[in-house]
Amino acid sequence: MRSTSMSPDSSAGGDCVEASGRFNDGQTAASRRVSVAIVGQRLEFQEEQGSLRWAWPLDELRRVGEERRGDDLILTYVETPAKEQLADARLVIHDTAFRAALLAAAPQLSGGRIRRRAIWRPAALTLAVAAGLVAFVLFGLRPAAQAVANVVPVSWEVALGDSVYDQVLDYFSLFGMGQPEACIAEPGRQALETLTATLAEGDETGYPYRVVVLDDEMVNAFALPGGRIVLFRGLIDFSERPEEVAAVLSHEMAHIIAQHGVARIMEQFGLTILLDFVTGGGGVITGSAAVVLGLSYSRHDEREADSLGIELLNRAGIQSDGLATFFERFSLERGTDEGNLGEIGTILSTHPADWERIEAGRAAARDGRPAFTEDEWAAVQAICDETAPVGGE
Amino acid sequence: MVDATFEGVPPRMGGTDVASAPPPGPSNHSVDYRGGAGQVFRIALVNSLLSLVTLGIYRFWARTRLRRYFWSHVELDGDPIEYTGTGMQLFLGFLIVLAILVPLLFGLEYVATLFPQDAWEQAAIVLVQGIGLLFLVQYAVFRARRYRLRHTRWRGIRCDQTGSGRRYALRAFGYALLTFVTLGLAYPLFRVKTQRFLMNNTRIGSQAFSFDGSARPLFKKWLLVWAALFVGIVLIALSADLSGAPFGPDGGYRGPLAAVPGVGFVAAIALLAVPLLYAWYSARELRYFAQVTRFGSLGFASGLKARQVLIIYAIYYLVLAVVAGIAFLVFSGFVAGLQEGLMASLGGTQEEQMMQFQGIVILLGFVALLFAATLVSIIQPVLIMHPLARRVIGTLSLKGQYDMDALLQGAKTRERPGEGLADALDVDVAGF
Repeated sequence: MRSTSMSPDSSAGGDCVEASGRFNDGQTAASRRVSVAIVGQRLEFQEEQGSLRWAWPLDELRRVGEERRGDDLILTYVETPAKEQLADARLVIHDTAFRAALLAAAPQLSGGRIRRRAIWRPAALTLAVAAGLVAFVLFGLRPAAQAVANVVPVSWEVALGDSVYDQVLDYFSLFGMGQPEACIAEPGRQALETLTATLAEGDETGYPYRVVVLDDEMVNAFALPGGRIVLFRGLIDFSERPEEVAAVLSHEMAHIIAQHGVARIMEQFGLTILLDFVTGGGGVITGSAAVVLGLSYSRHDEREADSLGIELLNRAGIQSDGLATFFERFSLERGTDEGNLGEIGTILSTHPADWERIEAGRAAARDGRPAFTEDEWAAVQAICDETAPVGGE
Repeated sequence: MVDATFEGVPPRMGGTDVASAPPPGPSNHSVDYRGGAGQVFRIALVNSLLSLVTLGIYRFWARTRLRRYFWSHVELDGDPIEYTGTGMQLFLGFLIVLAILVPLLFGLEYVATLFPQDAWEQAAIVLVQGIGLLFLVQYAVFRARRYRLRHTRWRGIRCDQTGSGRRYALRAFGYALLTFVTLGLAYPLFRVKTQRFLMNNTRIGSQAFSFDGSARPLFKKWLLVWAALFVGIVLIALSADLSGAPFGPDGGYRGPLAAVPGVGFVAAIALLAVPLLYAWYSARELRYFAQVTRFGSLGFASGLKARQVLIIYAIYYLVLAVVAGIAFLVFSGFVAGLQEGLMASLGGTQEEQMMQFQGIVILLGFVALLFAATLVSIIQPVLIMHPLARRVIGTLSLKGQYDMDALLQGAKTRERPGEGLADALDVDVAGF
């Protein structure tokens, strides 16, 4: 048993190797002892106790369980509709020499070949899918999100912006800063409103702009979807010329017109889902990847808002060099000078490097009339002389 | 003769499908696991590296390779079982679920922003989501198990899981809810009821398994686990002293037993005992389940001991801790070196340097996380799945005789994609 012998009467003229094995016919789980031989281009086997005989062409053999340790060989029949039942049958041969002979005669049964196909083919496929996915995230996600943002109704943007506005105010209290009050001195508000209306004339999207100045020393401003713009007193104090406040205001309006807020929400949501599902979870990893990618989108938005904001000023005929002068002083104040922003510092920043914005701002600037009259400018600077709780403005 | 059909008609014995439960006696049937840790490691290593560079998309093929390995080293009566599923089917199953779930989630998010909610409404939404998820998870478990069984063969005979997935999900969901409402007390009931449904619908060819267990013998054992957990939590709540904390009204909460010495210690002991007791319960449960499961005239017996399982987990966590510790030392040494070397080489103001330095540390942290995830995916198959299979199958024995001539081929089922929902919900059926 389990020995190899050369058959004395090799019918096809080639080597005829024999072994014993077990056969399951695929119809019951019974196991029959069979003796197996390679005869020409066929594998022939017959019951050791009984008269049943089978002959399978070598090129229609298929191997299963090739990942098993040890040197047994489990064979079945290539599945075709006509021979469905044969594909249920199993022939187990436990014989090293026979196995070598059979693998030589039927190379498709080689375990190495099957394994290579089972690993490297899917590896290449999934690598291609992954590359496609990276390409989509880098180049396709933004246009896709922008396209979705374009079909979102204005009323929804307004509702969204309002609810985010409430949340932002809540955050102030949460971090113990105390909720800042709104600045409501009437002449200043009037001046800002006039400027906003003038700038809005150059744009047909028709968002209901609502500009609020909050009484806080932060040198900052932000825009929310649907037309809300928040300027902090610190920013007005820091500005030396009316054109600088106008530049910031037009920059924020540009964010709203370009629907950056909505697009960003769509993007972040899409990215999180995509990364989470595609990579199979791992929340922290996908989360941090989403943040880094989100930051890069953010820098893109800032550049776009810079150039669109300057365009709004130019269309309105207002002097548009405010952005450049604002950032020249702002970057000095923060202690940044032009050469010193390393690659990583930029990658992990929400805004582009200051020098980049200054240069772009200078290049796009046009001469024009002042953003405010002298009276208006004085009124804007004094807007926080009178304050009220937010919401009452 | 060139045609490869049967030359003779194979003798068909009359299949006796009825299992009239004879007393399981000695058996000449056997079940063994013959896998090797080294090979599992090699597969897991290649799997993890390929999954890493493909953003995890390779995981469907990775899973398939591991299953093929584990399946093919489980032998019944000397013949291995076979896994016939493919990575592509799992991948397609994933794509289908993605195509349904993503638009659904987008829609829900959109609707949610239309209606601003107050805190109570948000809580209600979270509750409804949780309930929906609980149901979906049960459904996913059933479907994943069915996919696996339908892609398992032994001696060419197909396995199957019958029964309705929705009915199973509804039932399992009900008992899961009951477990939740009874603060975990009804857990053995959930286990027995789901096991009954699953096993009674599990088939190898023409023969179904039958499960005849009840929750009663398990309750007492479960009560011990439950009591340790309950006592631990209650004592912690009673002895907690948060009066120094800056949050909460009136300077924070202070439990009535906060001044009693030793209460916190007792609570800690109780909570530390929970995983040990749980392992003990699980081993006992498995032994009981084996005892009350039949496969026709075959019975089962398991001699699994809790310490056999515990030692596997102890080794796993030990190795994880050692490797993570070494990685942490290397990582923090790297950061310290970076701080000295790099900070000096960077120009600009101190604030500017600090920002860049922080950036580098964040990126390194990201790399460290990826390293940790990859590490776990390499050692888990080697140190958990492989030894667990060895222990569980090694301690399992078969009772009685079965006439394999009477075990007939099962019905053919259509090949289709599978397990997408289980992948999306991170449902883990027995570690595979």
